[in-house]
Amino acid sequence: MNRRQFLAGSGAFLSLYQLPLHAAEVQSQSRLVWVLLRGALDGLSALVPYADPHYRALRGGLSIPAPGGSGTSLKLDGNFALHPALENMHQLYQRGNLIAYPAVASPYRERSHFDGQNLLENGGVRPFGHADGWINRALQQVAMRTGPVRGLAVGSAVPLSMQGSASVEAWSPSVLPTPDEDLYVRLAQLYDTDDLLSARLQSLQRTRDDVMDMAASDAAGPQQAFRQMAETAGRLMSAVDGPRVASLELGGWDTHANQGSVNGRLANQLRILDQGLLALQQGLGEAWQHTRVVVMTEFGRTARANGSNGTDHGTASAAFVLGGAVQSGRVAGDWPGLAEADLYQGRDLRPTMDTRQILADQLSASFNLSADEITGAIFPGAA
Amino acid sequence: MSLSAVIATHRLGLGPKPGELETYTSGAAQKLRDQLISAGVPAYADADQVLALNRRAQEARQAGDNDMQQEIQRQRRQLYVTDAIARTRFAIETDQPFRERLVHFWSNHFAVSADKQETIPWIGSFEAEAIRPHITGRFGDMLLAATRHPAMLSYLDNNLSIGPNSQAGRRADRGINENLAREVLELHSLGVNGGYSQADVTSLARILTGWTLVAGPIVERMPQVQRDGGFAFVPAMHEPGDHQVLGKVYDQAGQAQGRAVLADLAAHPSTAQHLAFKLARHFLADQPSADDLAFVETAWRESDGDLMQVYDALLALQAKTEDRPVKFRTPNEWLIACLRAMGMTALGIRPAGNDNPLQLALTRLNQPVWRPGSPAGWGDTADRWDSPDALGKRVELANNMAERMAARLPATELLGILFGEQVEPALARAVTNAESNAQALALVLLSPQMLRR
Repeated sequence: MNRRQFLAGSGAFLSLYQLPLHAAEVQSQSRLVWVLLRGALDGLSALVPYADPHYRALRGGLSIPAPGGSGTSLKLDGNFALHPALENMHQLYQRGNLIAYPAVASPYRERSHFDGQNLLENGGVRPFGHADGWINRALQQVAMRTGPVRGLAVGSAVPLSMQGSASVEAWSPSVLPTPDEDLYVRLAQLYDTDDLLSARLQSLQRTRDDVMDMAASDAAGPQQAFRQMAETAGRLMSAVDGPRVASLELGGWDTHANQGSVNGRLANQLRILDQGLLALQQGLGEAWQHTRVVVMTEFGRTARANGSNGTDHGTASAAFVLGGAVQSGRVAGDWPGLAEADLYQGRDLRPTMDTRQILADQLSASFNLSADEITGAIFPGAA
Repeated sequence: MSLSAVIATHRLGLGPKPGELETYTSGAAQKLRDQLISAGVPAYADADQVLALNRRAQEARQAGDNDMQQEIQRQRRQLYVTDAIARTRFAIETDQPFRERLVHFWSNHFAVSADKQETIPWIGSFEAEAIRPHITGRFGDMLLAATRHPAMLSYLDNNLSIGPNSQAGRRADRGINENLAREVLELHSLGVNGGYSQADVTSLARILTGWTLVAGPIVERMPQVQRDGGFAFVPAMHEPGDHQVLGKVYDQAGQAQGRAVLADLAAHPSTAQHLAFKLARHFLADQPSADDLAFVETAWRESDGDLMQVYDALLALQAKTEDRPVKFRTPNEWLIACLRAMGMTALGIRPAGNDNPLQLALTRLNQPVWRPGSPAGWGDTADRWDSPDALGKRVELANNMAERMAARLPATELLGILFGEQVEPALARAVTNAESNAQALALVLLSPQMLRR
């Protein structure tokens, strides 16, 4: 798809809805998982536009090398590659089970995490425009069409996306999950002028580092926490009468400083995501064949590196659809380009696709919902 | 300078509930004083319930019914757990937080710890009957009520203390146990440097023989037992004769002898000094200034331990302190403050659901209700609670509560509930820049302003 085709089609938001459906059988088996990356994923590092002539100049030390040997990005096609930490996702692509979208955004055009996440979860066009979430409304529509299906929120609370009149379940590990590393980074900033708390936090961090070093693969760190949640979600969903729709979330993407490149903070975060998705697949077992997973974030990050080797809040980011039920390995959607004139407000990757279009396509494919049901009830104001 | 709403609610209260801050717009000190006047109380197990359970335990023992004994043991423990949870829930919900903070202070001053089988079921009743009725009265009345309560008598072994020359002592060749007497002098009244000697400890122990709890056949078979709820005075265990404490001879008979000593201890200048220090440490600073200590001590002495007048002195000093937090919150204070602001759903507690997460959270933070593990009670200075590991536990719990509240409570709203317009710029910035509402909520709960009061 090029930009012109996309623009022509963007009025027809429901382009893929009239796909042939093997109705009842597909529905009874279909699983849909939404993975929300809270904090704004840097799409230009996850899905690397290595052939864009402006990429390296804009990104400087943050840029990921073009594919070719170890320590470089993992090639998808002549224009795009995945971050080297996304090994599992690369394999899925090669098997024809992953679609990558390079320039996606919700209708939100400001840069507040809270408002952006709220809008993405409520499924509307305004932050706080709906008191319930798009997944819950989708569960209600599916219930009307084919009878109730179970919804599962993985985490200690039901996120807004899952709140609403349809009843949903929630699961989280019984021990308190370890907070994201990013929370400790921010606490250190908050305690900057407080000598006592700074000292205590530093000491705590040293101990935490030691523990992680001692048992790098077994520690109950954030990596294990997400992997455990993903694997359990998969196992719960693999049951014949298990949940059909689930939400997962992973924070730690707000890489304002020392984001890293092939290695570093963002690379670690991407590895957690990649391994979590593999765990989800393993947990699902045979049911993976009937599963679609959508990975997205509230918005992207600035096209240029900032003054502290990081990136600030931007607009478009990457999104991914993957799973055994995804019978395609491709990069989808128009590439807006990184030339100065192509950037949104001169600073961000310009969006060429609406997050809700991706979600609507997957809902339609999974549960045989009609265009009216989707634009009328689940994503109002979308068409 | 007058007392600010933030100081009134955080340092003197238990942390503001939604809307509470706004009610302190003028006359914060008077509003705090008004909270002391009357109060509801948590529904703790009363003495009759504990006594009934103890009677059943005795019957089961006599019948050799092991299963029943175990079941009753479980029920006795359950009384403690239920009361402990009711106490925390009450603190989270109360509209008289200053009064409840004082209850927590005094309950910790006269600490009984849920470590002994005998003591465990009595602890709620201890706070309800020995502490709560007296926190706005005279200290001497609280000292007497605490000393003669079954929880204290069993926790500090006075039920095992028998006058060697008493009827029971001569028959059984038993003697005194000075545990309670020592702690009354060292912890509850004069203080460790309060000017008493080992002879005073031993003498007070003799005087307190016969002060025991209604339990078991020994007490019930004794003649002329004087009962009052769970308390029993057993003349046959009481060491006869005159005894001397701090140079004064007590020649009263029976219980009156111990009552007279306790009244004198309550009125002693060392007690005024000791308690003025503990109160000032709790409400003013880990190391209160000499001037402040003298001010509180004078109020105590001039009113002969009239606690309302002592609190007035503390409130008067508050108005002169800096308008910033000065005390590190204990885990108990911190959790209660978090939940008052956010509601108990932050711990996953539903209106009709079970409250165990309250006790579990406090245990995880190493401060389970009424279990300080020592008659000295929980420490009241920052160094007791600010270890890196303790901070780590708070980070984990805050993160957990924040995730649970992320879709219900915007962090900016939490800031308003807690600090109104007085938000530290660094905290406001951290909230604005946080990557998610959950992270922002966690940062508020872990902020220097929230870890302190």
